Amino acid sequence: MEEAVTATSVPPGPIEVPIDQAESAINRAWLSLGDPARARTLNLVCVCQNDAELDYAVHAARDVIPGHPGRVIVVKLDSPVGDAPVLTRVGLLEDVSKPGAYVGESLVLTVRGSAREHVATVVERLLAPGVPVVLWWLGDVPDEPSAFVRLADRSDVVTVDSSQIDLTDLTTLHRYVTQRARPTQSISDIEWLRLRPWQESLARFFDDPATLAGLSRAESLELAFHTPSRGDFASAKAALFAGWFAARLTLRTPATIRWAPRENGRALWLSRPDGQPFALTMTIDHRPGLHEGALTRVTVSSAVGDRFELEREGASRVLAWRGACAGAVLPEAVLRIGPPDTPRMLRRLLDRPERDELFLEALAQAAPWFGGGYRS
Amino acid sequence: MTTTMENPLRAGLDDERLAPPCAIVIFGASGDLTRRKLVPALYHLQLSRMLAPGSAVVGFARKDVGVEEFRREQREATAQFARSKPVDTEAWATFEPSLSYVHGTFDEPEAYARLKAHLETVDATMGTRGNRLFYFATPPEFFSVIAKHLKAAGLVADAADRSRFTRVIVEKPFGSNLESSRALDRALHEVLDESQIYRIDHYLGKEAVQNLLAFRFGNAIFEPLWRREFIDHVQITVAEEIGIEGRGKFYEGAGATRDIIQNHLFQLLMLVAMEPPSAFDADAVRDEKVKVLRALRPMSRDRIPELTARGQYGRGTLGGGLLPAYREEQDVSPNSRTETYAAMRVEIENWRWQGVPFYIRTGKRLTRRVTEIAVRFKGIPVALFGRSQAETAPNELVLRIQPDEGITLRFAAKQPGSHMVLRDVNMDFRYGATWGRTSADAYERLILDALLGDATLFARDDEVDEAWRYVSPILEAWAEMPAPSFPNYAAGTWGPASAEALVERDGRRWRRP
Ligand SMILES: NC(=O)c1ccc[n+]([C@@H]2O[C@H](COP(=O)([O-])OP(=O)(O)OC[C@H]3O[C@@H](n4cnc5c(N)ncnc54)[C@H](OP(=O)(O)O)[C@@H]3O)[C@@H](O)[C@H]2O)c1
Repeated sequence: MEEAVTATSVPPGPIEVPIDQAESAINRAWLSLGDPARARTLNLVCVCQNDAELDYAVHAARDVIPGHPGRVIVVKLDSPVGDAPVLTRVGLLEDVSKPGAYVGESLVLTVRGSAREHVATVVERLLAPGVPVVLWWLGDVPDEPSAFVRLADRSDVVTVDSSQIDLTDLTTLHRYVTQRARPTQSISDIEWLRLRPWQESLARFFDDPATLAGLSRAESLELAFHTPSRGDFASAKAALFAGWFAARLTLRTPATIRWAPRENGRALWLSRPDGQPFALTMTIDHRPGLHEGALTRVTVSSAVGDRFELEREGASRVLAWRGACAGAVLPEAVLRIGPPDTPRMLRRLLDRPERDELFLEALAQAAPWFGGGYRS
Repeated sequence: MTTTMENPLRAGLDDERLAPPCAIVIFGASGDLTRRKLVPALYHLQLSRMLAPGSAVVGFARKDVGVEEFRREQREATAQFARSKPVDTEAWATFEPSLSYVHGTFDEPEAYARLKAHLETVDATMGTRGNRLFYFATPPEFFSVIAKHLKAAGLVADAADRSRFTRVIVEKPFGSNLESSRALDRALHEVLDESQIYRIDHYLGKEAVQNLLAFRFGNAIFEPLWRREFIDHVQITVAEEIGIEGRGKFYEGAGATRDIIQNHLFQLLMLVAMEPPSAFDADAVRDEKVKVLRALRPMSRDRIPELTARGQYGRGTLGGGLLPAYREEQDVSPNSRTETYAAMRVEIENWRWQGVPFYIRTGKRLTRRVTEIAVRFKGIPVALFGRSQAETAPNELVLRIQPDEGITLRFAAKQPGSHMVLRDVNMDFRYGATWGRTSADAYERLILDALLGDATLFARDDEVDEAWRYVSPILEAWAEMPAPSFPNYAAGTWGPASAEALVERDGRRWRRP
């Protein structure tokens, strides 16, 4: 409310300061704008491991912060060798759609050497008080996940992006959920959010009592996805989709996981609540132009001719929605799914940061399927 | 929607608020509302993937045009009126095939037979499963006519039928006085159950209006103060800068009280004054809202001149431009007695509000377009800090609905310096600055709610009835009393002197918004 002495309409550009001067540098930047009223709704902590991820995180944060004003702290975990003081690049974030409107502040840290050990405490000192902490962990969850665990422990919302991680990282995440997470903490995955239009479109088939009967007769779920580069026979996205479906239908996982080879893929036999077998098939479907692991087709079918299918047209964002089921009218429809870009997903996550039970269920179901020995 | 509940894949996905498949039939599809609001809203719902695949939009109007022509008109209108431009061609290409058209007049049984046959085809080809949302975007005299014909043609499903639904959105105005509103209600209730009727008041679809509920019932610190012990009075202002925009014919029969106070302004009044509902659902919320109107102290006829003010604008200037008087507008009588401004002192007789006046006002051609609710708290009991404190005003909380939605709290603070000098300061919160994103248009929100069967943000029969019960006697008295000498305020000002007198009589002043 106080008038600043040297108010300008443009704050100083990002400046590099020692970490203990970061807070006063931010205050100076706001003062230079006349110390306008500002709202803070969160701390968004993005942790990345290389420059490409760092650029990406900065870009995504810039995109979401106008909708969720607050403080962005981007941490690059640099080389574990070669100690150096932690430098912080400090600046204000402008709402790109409203030039001149500043909606948050950004702190970009490069942490290397032994400081990596203490990254959680480094971040903690920089958090804006009184508002929730959202941790967005980009890239692989490291083998020695202590930095992840320590930061996650301090966060209210934790999200990874499993399109960037190994399938075993689903197990790491699941372990965190079951062994450490607080009941109020929300754990999520950006890749999971990208599944929503597929889940929604599949669910729509069964809003009608006639087709619902078809679902209870279903004997197989086939998921086709664009080839992952790591040689996995499933993508994290397909795994989570299957986990969701199996959890919702209370399908049971056998005591011993044995993926049987199939043409272009693998199959796992689950069982339905009535004891009947249910086949889960993962098929590789090469569609250049798609993101790694993107779904291309989802088919639920039964032996008596029920078939419910979503199929991506080429590498587009258009799905054909078609099916056949005795006693039901299922006119073919064309659906468009939203672009799967990360900022959009991040925004969604921040819009509804509450604990996503559906995700936790899907993760719990799918993690054991890929616990080990899953590489082809 | 029991079927939805049983779908195991649906569980947990509902937070997305996706509409079930449905045929949306717009009566009056060649009209202004359809073009400016309804089709653009449906397009945006499609764009944000909130409409089910296989949803259908059927236009019904008397012009005998083909479906291609109807689609072309709506495409052009959407290009002009959509809130996000340019129109996404891909999204429009998916949306357009769902638009179809049936022509006919509202009183022609064969037209409804055609509509019925068409809807059966839509069910078979699109999978709309017999679900219907009829939107009455027509002049009000047709509301009951259409309802009657829908019933006769077998187009209304029973409210208890769980396998499909029929719902009707009714536009405003809902009657023009207590008698006509009751007659309309009776006519609709002959055909439809109350649970099938969605009386739209687009104010309730506004984000900032819903935020009123969030502000009151999502924060623990204000509610204890929200009562007669702490509040001196409340002012609700719905000020318009525009005139009647060529709608003289309509406005001559309406006036500011019917057009704004009976519906929009009373909605704001109810939301500000209601008790906390037991749940955020249609009946719980509306039960509490209507209690506010029931507690309004009726105005005895002899006090109407003292407790109300009306006005009509004369020539004036706004932003340097010369503005005509109301009586000079197109389709307005040169001797018109229609009020373009109305203000009232309203009292709510209940434990919370006894003795707290609510001053409400609305008008056209006022200085600025603004809708706000100002809650003025009582003053401090003792002024410790001398003269400067006596000059500070009591605390005031302003909830701004439009244009720049936000909340301002005024309080006293020490002015820097060696003396204890107090000044008023405003703490300002702006939605636009906090959440830099555009929210959905009110019609998008409300059409989606109707498709989902959520009537919380629609007016219930008893609310409308109570509002008319309060307002009708005032309108009747005004009609019988000698008219004030209109025009009595200049376009571009804050209204007539009688409105100032209305509050000054109580030793108060209107806030300058
Ligand atoms: N426009 C708005 O922004 C707005 C805002 C709030 C509420 N409303 C309410 O919405 C409703 C519609 O408003 P509007 O502005 O769209 O009115 P409008 O432009 O006059 O349109 C009325 C529609 O009804 C049709 N119609 C009238 N008489 C008919 C008859 N005898 N048989 C068949 N069709 C007939 C018209 O068809 P023709 O084209 O053949 O005449 C037209 O399609 C009104 O109740 C109004 O109060 C409108």
